[in-house]
Amino acid sequence: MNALKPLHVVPGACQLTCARFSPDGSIVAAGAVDGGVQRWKLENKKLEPLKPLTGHQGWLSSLAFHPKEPWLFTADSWGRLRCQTFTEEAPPVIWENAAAHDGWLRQLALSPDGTQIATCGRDQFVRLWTVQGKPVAEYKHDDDVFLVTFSPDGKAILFGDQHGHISQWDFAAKKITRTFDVTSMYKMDRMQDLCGLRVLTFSRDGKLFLVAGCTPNNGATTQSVPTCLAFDFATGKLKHTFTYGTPKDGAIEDAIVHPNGYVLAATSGNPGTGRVIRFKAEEKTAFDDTISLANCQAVTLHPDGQHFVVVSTSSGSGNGRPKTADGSYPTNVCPVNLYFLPEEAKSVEKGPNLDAVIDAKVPK
Amino acid sequence: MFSKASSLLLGALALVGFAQAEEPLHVRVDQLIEKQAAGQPLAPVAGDAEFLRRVYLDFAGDLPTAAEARAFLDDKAADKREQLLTKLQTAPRFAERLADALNVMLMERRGEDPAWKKYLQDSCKAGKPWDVMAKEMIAPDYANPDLKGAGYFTVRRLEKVGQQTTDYPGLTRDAGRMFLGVDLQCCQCHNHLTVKSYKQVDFNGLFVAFQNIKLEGGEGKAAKVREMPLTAKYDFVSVLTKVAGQTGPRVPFSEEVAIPDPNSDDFWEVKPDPKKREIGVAKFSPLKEIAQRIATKENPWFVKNAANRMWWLLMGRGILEPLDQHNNPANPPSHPELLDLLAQEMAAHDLSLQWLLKELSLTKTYQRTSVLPEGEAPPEKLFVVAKERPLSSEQLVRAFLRATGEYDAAAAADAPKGHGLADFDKAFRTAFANAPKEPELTVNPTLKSALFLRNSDIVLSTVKPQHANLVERLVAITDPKALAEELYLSILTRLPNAEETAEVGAWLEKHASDRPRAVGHYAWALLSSEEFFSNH
Amino acid sequence: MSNPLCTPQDHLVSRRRFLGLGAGAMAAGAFGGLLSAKAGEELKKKEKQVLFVWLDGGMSQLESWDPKPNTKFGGPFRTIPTNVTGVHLSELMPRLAKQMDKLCVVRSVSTQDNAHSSGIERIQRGDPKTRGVPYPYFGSAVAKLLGPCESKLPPYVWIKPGSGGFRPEDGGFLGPKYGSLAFGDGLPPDDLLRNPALTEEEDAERNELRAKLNERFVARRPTNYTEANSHVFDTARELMKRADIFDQSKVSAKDQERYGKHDLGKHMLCARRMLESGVRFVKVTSYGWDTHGDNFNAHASLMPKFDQSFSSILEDLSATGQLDHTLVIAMSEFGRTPQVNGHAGRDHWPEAWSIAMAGCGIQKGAVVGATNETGTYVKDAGYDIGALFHTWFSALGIDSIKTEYDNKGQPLPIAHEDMKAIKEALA
Repeated sequence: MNALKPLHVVPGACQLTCARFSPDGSIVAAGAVDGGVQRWKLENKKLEPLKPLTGHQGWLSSLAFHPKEPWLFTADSWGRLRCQTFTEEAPPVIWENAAAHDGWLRQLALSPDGTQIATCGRDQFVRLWTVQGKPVAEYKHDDDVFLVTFSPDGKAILFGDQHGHISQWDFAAKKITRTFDVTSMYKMDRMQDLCGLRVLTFSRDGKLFLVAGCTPNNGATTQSVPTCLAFDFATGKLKHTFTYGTPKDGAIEDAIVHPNGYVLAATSGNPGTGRVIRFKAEEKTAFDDTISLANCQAVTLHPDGQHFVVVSTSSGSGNGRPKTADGSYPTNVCPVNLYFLPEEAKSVEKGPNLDAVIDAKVPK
Repeated sequence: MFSKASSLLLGALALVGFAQAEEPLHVRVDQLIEKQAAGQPLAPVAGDAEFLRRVYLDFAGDLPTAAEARAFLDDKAADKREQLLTKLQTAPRFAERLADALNVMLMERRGEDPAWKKYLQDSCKAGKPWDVMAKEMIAPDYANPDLKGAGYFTVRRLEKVGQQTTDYPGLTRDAGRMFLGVDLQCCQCHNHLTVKSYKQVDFNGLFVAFQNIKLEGGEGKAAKVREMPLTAKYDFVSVLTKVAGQTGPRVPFSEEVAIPDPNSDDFWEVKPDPKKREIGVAKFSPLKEIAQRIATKENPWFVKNAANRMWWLLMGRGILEPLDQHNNPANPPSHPELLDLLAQEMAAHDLSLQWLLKELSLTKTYQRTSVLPEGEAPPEKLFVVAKERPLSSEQLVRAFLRATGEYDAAAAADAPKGHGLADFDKAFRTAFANAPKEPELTVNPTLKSALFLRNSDIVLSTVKPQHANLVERLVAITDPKALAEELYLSILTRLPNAEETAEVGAWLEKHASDRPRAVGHYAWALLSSEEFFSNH
Repeated sequence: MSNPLCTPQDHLVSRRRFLGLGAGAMAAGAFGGLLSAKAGEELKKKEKQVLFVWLDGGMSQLESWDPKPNTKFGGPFRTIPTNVTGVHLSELMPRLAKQMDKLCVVRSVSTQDNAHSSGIERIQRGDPKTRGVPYPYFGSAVAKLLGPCESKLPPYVWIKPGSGGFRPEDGGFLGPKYGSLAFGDGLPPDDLLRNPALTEEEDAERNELRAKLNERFVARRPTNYTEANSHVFDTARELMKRADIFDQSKVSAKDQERYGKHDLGKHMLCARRMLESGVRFVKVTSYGWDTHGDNFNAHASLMPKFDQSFSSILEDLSATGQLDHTLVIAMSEFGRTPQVNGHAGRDHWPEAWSIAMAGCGIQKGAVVGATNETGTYVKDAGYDIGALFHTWFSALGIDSIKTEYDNKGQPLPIAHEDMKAIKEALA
């Protein structure tokens, strides 16, 4: 299979942590390490830049679009949670909470019915909010919480912690009802906790619970094997283990379940290593790994099932030391790569774009 | 090829040789030592016991058993010393002992390597001339399975070990130290400040050949080096005077080797191929060029260094000290004539290390007692008293196992786990060998070695009565005097005097309730004593 | 003697003169190699000690002592105020923020080497001008200049994860006896404890016998080797007597909780006990601070462990008053790049980084020097490691300009002669 060529590449102006298509596919929003939200309009097979949104601090760590309303939810590493519109030149903030968490708000997720938001953070809290920003419930965990998502029925929140434990929190009953052991995706290396969790998501039919990220090997120049575990959500049993490549290949940094059932994932590994891979959770090998891009940070899929965007990192970003010829010391940047999958045209079912709802990604 | 001064010196050496050709070398050595003693009393020749212990340690790296010791002491033959020397010097152990000593001298505890060890042992067994060995170490032939072990000298020094980086200057320095007896380290950056005859070009002429090799690796570990094509001279600048210099390959104190024209077709064995990123192979090998010019009878420093180091091995002090400061007019040898003589004779005998060691062992100088005369101790450099030398860990482990009667059990194929010969070797090396890269000119007692002797299981196990070892044998001896004799002969290679015999008796009486333990403790005290730890 | 000199026979620094003292041993003649023996005697009385915390690799200055929140290289973390007005630290060190009044942070450290292989050596040896001889590590230098404490315990002890043993190389040209005695995983060296097969009485008695045999043998022998040999045996006896201080089971559960049950916590606690017992110089090493990948989650995991253990020992040394005569240093071999690389890591950055100090002779609650707004370079000239060595020696009451090593007749400065102590860092 020949490698797919990008339709368009935006060179990038900053390092990015996450990216999502709006539910109608017209806009891509990406979170940046300068706290901004970069935006592009998809027009004529190109990504045309819109003015970035500002107002966050630290890193913009997670974002999600509401499935129906024109709302974009964003979170940052200083604990701020915000809701605003996103099409205007300077979109108004609808509401915000500057202290939704104490410090790094690692991830947010929207409920399938679009009425609630779940958030988690380094402060060890998992919180439930209405989409209007009203606190509903909270759970104090005993560990840094990296990932959060809703169960397909919207009645529980699943969250994953640093040590590789995933808990199912029945927030109405105020209790943890069960846990999933993904400690194979955790390792203590010398004194450093290596957490391999990056993505929690479900298969389109809601039967498989997918945990993607990596099996860590060591810290320093990190070595880890991209991994995706698939649990039977009804029984809680581990059904499939998918791994890709070698410890140099790093981690699945972001993944989306395609309407046709497979997983579209982006990896980042050793300096300059990165791939876009497509695989079925129940199979051992990827059926497509032809796209090679340096250190992918995020991937997002257009509702048409054909366009997708991958956030990668500038080439030569392997070492933070080099200066330019004139002696200046630039930042690395993340190119934004737009692709198109021609073969998927007929097969995509029409229906709600679950992508925007259930997958959300945790930044590094 | 060498400067005029060196050639003249060689001429002088030849004259000395002719003038006294009739006498054997060992006689002439003693004459020169006596001549220079200048009124200092010469210590008497050592008694049989002291002699016995010394030659066993020096030529077998071991001790005699109590029975062997008794037999020698009782032997009435007039030439028993010569007989014993011949026996030891024709036994296979002599080559192993020399290989051990060369390993410590050349590698300075950088590590152990089986192929290197085998190379040294095979070379010593074959009586290989020193110039041949030196060439094989400086410019190793990795294609020859019998010789590639010699490459460890270079490979180990270039390996990245822990924090150590690839150390070309260190390799250059050591080549100078080991093969020419000159430490040119300071000359990497400037002419030597205190040794006027050591110039910056002397270091860099060697450096240009050594910095031109690259490690090429086997699995995880570098297996060999590859020589890159050398197409230009090496530029250097004095950090003190800022004066620039330039040199091609050059052996210290001699003429530079011309680098052939790299643009000539004749330069390449395999031409470079930029497309395949092949750098090519040149016919000209700077490493072989310097190896040939270092390791030759015609290089006076090569020969003197070898002679001086062999002298050091048996006498505990070099005729020239430090061992790596030859060719410094401000620091002449203690006996210049003697060093010249040894060098000349060694050159005349195929540069054989063994030949020289055998000759030296016949000298009175070697055979004197190490007991100091009454009054003020004479200066060491006169060699009028034998010098005490601490045992290397290799000598120590054998001596220890021999004395305790544990050697056979440890060497047996079914040795108890953790108590095989290799385990003892490793434990003793860890406890007693110097730190890596420290020249092992003497062995420092350390806290580590003291704790090892006091508390380690492996040491204590040897003084428990078991499998007919020393302590078990002693426990069976009821007569305290006989016991004391066996004890002293086994450990210290001598009979106890009356006072010592009485002390053993008193100790046994005091600890009569547990005789095996009492005997074990006594043996331990002798084994950890200084007398045991020195080659005196 | 301003010209650099080399001594090709450096290895001969004898081994004769130092003979016998052996690695890790304590020296009766600890001042033998100093040009001024009197100065040595003066220093010895004060019982000054050193705690040297070495974070192997490089702690990110931006995630610790010199945060630059909301700047392009600032990373995700916030800053927090400290108990010194106007001084902020990374939010990853909340407990140390409450100890800032004891600390002095130099934020303008600027060193020369960005490679581990050479960098560790250059930093810990103070990166002096090249003399053709390896300089001693800081711990060896202190062992030489101050000798052991009254306790007679080895003067330079190193607590580290992994294996222990003797590391003579640290001593450089001072010789192997000034090397470190390493306690791997905080455990004592091999064979420290009396072999269980021996009673105390037996052990003593057979050693007396040994000493008696030696006395007779050496009556007409050269004495140097003998003295050395009996010295190490005596030292072994002293150390064996104090074996209890290495007994981890004697640590209270509360202290274990306070310091943390991770390696650094355990080892810092062990360091406190060594300092209390009278070890002159204790080095604690923590490995794994080389966050080329995933730097931010790595620091989120590592920093709290450093914060916990380092603040605990500061609290304890301060509570007992020991901090007044204990110089405390926490540092790495370099800082980390402001630029974040493609796999979210930070690489090696000696250009601008921070070192923290406290205790004996050190200014309290001080921040010295600064980096520019984005933390890429130091403002003004910055301080190389040589200046830090001058500062530390000065803090210990050693005149770092006048005191020289005597390398077998060759006087060598104890710290880089073109640099001097950082005045603002000294009390």
